[in-house]
Amino acid sequence: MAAAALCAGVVAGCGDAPVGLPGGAAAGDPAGSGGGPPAGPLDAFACDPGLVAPELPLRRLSHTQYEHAVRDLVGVLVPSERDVILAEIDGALVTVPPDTRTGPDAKLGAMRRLDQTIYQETVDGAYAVGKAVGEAIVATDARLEAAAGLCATDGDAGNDAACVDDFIRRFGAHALRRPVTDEDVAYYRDVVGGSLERGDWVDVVTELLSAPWLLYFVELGEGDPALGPVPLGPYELASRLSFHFWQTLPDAELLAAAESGALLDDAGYQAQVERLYADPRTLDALGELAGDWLMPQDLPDLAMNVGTPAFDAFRGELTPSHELRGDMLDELGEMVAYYAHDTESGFDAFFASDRSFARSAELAAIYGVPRWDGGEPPQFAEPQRAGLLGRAALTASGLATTRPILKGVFARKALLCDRIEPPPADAMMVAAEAEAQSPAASARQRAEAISEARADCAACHQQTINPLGFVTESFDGLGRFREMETVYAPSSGEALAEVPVDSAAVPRVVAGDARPASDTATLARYMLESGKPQACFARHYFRFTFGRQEQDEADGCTLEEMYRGLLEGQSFGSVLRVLALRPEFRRRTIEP
Amino acid sequence: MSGQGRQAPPRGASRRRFLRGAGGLLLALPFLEGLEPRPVSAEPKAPRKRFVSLATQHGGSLGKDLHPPQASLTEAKIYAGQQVRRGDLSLGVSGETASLSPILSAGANKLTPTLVSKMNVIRGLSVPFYTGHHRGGHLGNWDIDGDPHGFEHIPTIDQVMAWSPSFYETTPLVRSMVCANGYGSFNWQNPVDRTGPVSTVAAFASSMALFQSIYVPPPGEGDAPRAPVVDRVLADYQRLRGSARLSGKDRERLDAHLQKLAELEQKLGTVYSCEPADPPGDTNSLGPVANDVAKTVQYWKFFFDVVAMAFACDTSRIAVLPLTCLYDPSFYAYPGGGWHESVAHQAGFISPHPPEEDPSGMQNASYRTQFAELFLYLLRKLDEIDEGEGTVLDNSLVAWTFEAGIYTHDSWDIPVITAGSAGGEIVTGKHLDYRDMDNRVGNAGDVESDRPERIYTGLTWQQYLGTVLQVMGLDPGEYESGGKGYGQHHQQADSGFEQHSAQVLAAQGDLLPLLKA
Repeated sequence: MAAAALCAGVVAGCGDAPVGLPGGAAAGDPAGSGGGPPAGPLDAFACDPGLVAPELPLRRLSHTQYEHAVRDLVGVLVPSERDVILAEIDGALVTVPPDTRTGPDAKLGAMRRLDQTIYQETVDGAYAVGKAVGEAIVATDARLEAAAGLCATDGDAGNDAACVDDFIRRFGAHALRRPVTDEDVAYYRDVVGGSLERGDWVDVVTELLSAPWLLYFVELGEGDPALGPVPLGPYELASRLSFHFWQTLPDAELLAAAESGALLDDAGYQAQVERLYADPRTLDALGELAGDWLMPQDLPDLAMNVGTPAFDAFRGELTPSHELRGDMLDELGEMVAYYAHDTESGFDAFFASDRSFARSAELAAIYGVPRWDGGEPPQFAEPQRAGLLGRAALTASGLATTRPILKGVFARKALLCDRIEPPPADAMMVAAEAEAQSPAASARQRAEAISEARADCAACHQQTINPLGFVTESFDGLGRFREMETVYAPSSGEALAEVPVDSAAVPRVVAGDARPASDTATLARYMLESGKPQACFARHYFRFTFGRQEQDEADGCTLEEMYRGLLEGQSFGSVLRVLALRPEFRRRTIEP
Repeated sequence: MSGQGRQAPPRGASRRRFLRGAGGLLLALPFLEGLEPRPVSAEPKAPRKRFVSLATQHGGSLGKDLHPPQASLTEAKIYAGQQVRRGDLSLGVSGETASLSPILSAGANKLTPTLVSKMNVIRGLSVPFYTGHHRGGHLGNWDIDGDPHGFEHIPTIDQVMAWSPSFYETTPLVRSMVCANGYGSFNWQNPVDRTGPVSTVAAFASSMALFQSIYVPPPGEGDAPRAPVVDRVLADYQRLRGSARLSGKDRERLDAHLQKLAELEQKLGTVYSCEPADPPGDTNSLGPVANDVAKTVQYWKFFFDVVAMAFACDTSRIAVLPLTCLYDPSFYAYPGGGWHESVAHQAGFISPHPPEEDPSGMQNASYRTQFAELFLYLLRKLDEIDEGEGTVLDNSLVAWTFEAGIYTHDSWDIPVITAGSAGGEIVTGKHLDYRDMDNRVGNAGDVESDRPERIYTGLTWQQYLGTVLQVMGLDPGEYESGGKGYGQHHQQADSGFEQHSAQVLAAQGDLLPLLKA
């Protein structure tokens, strides 16, 4: 569904709360004291194998997973007309609401998979989609024959019952993602009246596409739940794996592994994890992961301000298109895919990358590199751009100026998982005065003036937020590298001043680290040395995998294994696969 | 397929048999107690009332810019220990422009005496604690995920009335039409029994998605509508619910789904009467609308058209439309970029900028556009639908509210512009001022070099929300919890509650004064 999202997010602000370290430790913790970075990896998580975290009950498919499942089920019914039918049912599909990005912070690092709300429109929409699909397949004899066989149109009443039963068994196995039992067949066939009508087929399809086994991960497990967590059944495992890595239904090979029992064997299971992960279909999930984790809260349509005096003066010959924003965001997904999937590099290589993954000529031109065609990615012309925070998606504002404060908030929250208190009640009331005093000030100077105007803002901004943003000031509001910053009058576009960019700051990734940085490459190095991005990513990926927020103690073993793997240089992809191999992924607790 | 019957029982017989069984099962399950028929008044309430919430982020418009002149306040009375004032709205016309105030102005062909006679302009309502930014506070939920204000989510009043049998006698197709970007409406996971987490209510992301959900085309000639199979789907979930291998929390989730299926079944079982309608404009067809005033206006008009259609067909009676966002200058062609920092958070203060860059002027212009192009457009649409005794507008309460008061981030003196009398429940054509001019707010808003207007206490937003619920037909016993009126009653040490008199706080359960018809 194409959502015309209008809103960006809320304002993060200042406060003087200590900055949390991975694992919940606070600034002032010995790990960060003494004026230097931690001597070694932080003890971010503690593993107590005896603890079992409460699991998400009856998890529902995400909107993306549901849409993909419908797409593939329509493909099962009428392979040759899948896309035609999908277009026909679009009016129903659009009524299924998209998921809301959800998480400890509503805007930064929040993920759609964490939205487990059962909306009324989800229920209504699934029913409408089921009915629409049913009506689409009975629209022509050819479709009905493709879906149910010639018996559906042959005029022979004698085979009607068998025809319906066979359809329920075959299609139901895909829709319900498990073998269809005799009880199921009896249940779903019960809508059929005395004579088989086309409407009966609609009803059967509607029921199957509204079934709980389709819309939810129904996981009953095997074994005695009173004795503790129970292993998932083979078809339940197949669903977990398939929807996690591919965002859709299990394929025939995975179902065969479930049927044969191979999926219950460690070697067989691991082989399927490796196979699924290596498949290009995994890229869709990796794209969603990157998109949710790294979505900045304030990246607008970059063409939004074309035609306004200051922005036109600032952009010069570059006229950004409406597609540029998407290109920038896509690059983040391409990065994750390249390092975690295509090359099996380490997390460090991803986080400190000096390569461009710009697929579009427009973005590549901003980077001053050739367009990436999927082969060896070109190296940035400016070494200062290396590191995740040098990407255009994370530096651009779409304005004639930059937003160092918001960039700092993003880095602190989304990449380091630090907590920032909200601003005081009247925090922004100093802006006008600060701007009036220095209308020709640079973005950094304005941010400093605003932050320093009030003592209750200054501490947090100076120590925690602003420096991380200042280090990225070598990139302008369109993500272009710069050494000089021109300040424009908003209403006329007149150049008021040209000042050298000052990107030097003490980012204090951890408390007490007084080392300066002036480029994103150095900042990435400091961050990686701290272990905080690794611990933070472990949290994000945990949430993406399990659809819930982690519990530091009860989920400590899972988080610790991921964190250690990232820290010790295991391949990024292997760490992503680790979660699927953990016992927590393959079992569930059934509490009374 | 053939015309010959197979051995399966006839469709009708099969369905009837199921319904008997399912009915017994439903009544036997505790979770479905809330689905039993609710007591409703013997006679349907007439007229049918509607509620529309239009919400604008920020605020920061001074009283002199938004409100009619103080001189129009010709009546006064003592209420809750303070003076409250009222006067008639007086429309000034200059050339082709008609005005109630600098912001509330439009072409004289749009802002007509008839519409003005159906409006109210209200000031002096405050959220008595710091809110900063919020999305749901317009309708009573000030919690924001990730911003630790210390609140818990609570349902918004659109949902409170949407699930009240006092408001809906029958199940509508959509209880509350939450449009566009969401975050305006919150409710329990299980509204029937008010259990589960409170979270955002899904929004219709496009006008077409909303249309698909509220419009039922009239049956064509010869069509024999096929009975829905929601009952069968519902029974399928019951089938699973009986599994001994589900956890208690699994069952709670299934129960939530079952409640929604029951809601769907009721909706599909209701007959609606709609004239044939052309599909409305599709907001998705507009492409990016940010910073494009004409497109943004059109975007909301597409939604308004569907809302009016739903009201006319009576497939829904509530709409929630959050008009603006934090970052976009959606209703003003801002030349400089950075609307959020440079305009929205500086409006209201004495500007150090040249007139062409005055934040207040630009923000006021954006509000004027919302008033002239959207608020009045919706009013005209609703006033064109005759319902015998009055129009849909007459039977509605349209409330346009702002996120903050006269200074952004500050929740004192939040304006409310209304239209419609809610079926004759309230007076209209009035300018109402609930500020206590003897009680200045001390910790913010003192007149300083950059703050041109003083702030006073007044009546609370909780009382406003309760008033809306009451005029929509709800009894306070249906919604009051933890305090009078509706909304969070947060008691911080530095809470603004302390700056309100005990009499004002005690009066929060009342209908706002001078408003009752």
